Amino acid sequence: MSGDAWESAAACLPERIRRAVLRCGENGAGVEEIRLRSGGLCTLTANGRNVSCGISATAEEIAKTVESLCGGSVYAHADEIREGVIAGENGIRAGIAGTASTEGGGIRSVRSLTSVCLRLPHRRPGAAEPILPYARRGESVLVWSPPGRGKTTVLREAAASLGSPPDFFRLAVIDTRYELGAGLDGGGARTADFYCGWPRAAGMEAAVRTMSPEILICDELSGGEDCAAMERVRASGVTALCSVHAGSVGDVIRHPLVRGGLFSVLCGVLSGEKTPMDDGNGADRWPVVSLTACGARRIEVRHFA
Amino acid sequence: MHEILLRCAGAAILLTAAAGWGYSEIREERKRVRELEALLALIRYLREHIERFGTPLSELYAAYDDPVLAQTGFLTLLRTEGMTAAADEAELRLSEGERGILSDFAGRLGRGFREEQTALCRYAEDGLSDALGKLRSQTAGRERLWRALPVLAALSLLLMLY
Repeated sequence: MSGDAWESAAACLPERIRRAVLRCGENGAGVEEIRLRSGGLCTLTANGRNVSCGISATAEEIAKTVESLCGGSVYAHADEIREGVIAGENGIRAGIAGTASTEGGGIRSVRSLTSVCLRLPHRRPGAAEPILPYARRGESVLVWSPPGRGKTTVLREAAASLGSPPDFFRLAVIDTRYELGAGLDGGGARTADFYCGWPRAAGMEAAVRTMSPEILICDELSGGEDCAAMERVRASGVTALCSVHAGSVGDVIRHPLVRGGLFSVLCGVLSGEKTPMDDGNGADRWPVVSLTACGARRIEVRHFA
Repeated sequence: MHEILLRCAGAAILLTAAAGWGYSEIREERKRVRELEALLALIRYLREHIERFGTPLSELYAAYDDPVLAQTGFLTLLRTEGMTAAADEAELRLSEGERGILSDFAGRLGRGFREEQTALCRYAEDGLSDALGKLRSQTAGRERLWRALPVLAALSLLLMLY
């Protein structure tokens, strides 16, 4: 994780919280997240472990942090806040939680913020190595895992590699939550076109229609609109590298994107201890299997240290 | 003859000094009006851009230019440290009430969503517009006073001396 991101994150915090975080953070080494909670514990997530900072944030401190993340102009980030994420400097993305004000079934604004999670970008060169050969051959890859296991990191590194020498693929990156491009400034993905803040379906359509990408990268696809848009992307002959949340092989096999045959490679991302995989037959297989039941040709697993 | 010349020179110096003093006081009054007008124009500019485009404050400050506010150091402070610092530290000729309106505005600017920010700007505009209206009517009377009073005082002094 870059020192700039750590310093930027610390600079956003009110003085009292900044002191506590700097005390616990050890110059930011391995820090992935800083979480502030109004009335709850402030914590750091470093090297996969949650560390308490020993203090609670007040509502005013949460508001000041958000204001600082927005560069002093909260109104200018209203659309992001409505989506629950704010893109800060140096690749920092802040998830926010609070009271939603709704209108017509949609979220109009988010007020009385109670939690902020500052996610610091970190690069893991080589994380995408297992899927790059498939992408280079034009095979679409779906990366899956439970939340927080590194899917976005894999896609980010894939963008950095495929958009750099010797590849130089024309990439379209649909960066709805400003996460895929985080930390890539000057460090790769030089032939990538970023659609920051675009809704996924709209971003995919626009990219395919106007930027003629060779490879399209998109994070956290869900059903419905995303599936329909992905069908059109694949029908256009564009290779897709995407990710979905799934807890097991059984979950991902049942996903509409996989059932529709839109991806020929599934890549599970796991970290920590080995986890048994449920392939729908009740049998546990580890770590690499070949499975054809879902229509995909391979399942490969990358085990992060 | 020599004495008459000296007396005339003394009288001329006295009248010139009196007129000069009156003129500088009139200039100060007019500067006060211009500064308030400039602040009002700035707030109106911010409101319009926030309302229509949602432009971040840093960009608005960077793009804004006004010679009156620049002279007071307000613009430099605005661009480098923000509205609160500019309101507190710039050399503005504001009354206590006007400074209170500006400080309150500065403290809440940028902290809320578009509708709130627009309402905040309108509230500050209304307050400062009222203050400007009162100042203008007071200034007209004061200008007449500063034109006449110093010269009359000088003439009185001359009559007493001579």
